[in-house]
Amino acid sequence: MSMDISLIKRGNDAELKLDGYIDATNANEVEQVLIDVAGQFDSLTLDMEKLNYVASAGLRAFKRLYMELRRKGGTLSAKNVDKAVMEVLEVTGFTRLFKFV
Amino acid sequence: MKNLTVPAEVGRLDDVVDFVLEELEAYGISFKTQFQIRLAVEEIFVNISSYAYDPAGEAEVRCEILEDPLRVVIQFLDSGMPFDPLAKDDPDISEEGLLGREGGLGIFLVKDTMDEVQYEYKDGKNILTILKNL
Repeated sequence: MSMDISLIKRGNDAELKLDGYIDATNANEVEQVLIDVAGQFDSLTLDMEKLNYVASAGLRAFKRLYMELRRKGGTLSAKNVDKAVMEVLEVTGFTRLFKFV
Repeated sequence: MKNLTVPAEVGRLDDVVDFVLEELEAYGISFKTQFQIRLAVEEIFVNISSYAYDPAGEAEVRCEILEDPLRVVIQFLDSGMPFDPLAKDDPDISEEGLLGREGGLGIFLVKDTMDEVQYEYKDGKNILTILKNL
């Protein structure tokens, strides 16, 4: 399975644990799940401990999620980001989308 | 040198990535280096699949491990419309650029992760060559 996502509800916010990778073959699907969940909560935290790979297709999914939450005045947070993933976020400036907790 | 020819379709990405990673398996490379190579291969192959052909065509991937110093050279060849991905400016990664169009992210990541990136158009083919020290 390319990506498993589990949800922890915390009042009006939620945490999503990402387990797997986001690449061009699954990014649309992953994005759809993220957007669906974003529709139900004020703010989201992505726990990226088990996100072992992300490509530009994944960054676009994160960007869409960020814009969806921002539209509603919510925050996108991230935690436990792997070093290699973090480097991709840093070099592309996508760290700007996240509050790191 | 080994090579693989596949239809230039995003659905074939796994085949291309597996092909390259298998060549590297015997060399015990770090997680991070493997991540970076996978990323560069994906971004290039996805670009070819998205833009080179209409209708679809083929992409050839060549992979060679060289020693002294230990490095991998990967070439992507396609017969699609002539296109030099290195000729474009880097994307605007300021806040405004981030939230606007983000074309060029893929090749930007290739240039960031690889030690050398070269393009030529020869014998009717786009040839993109990347090199990573291992």
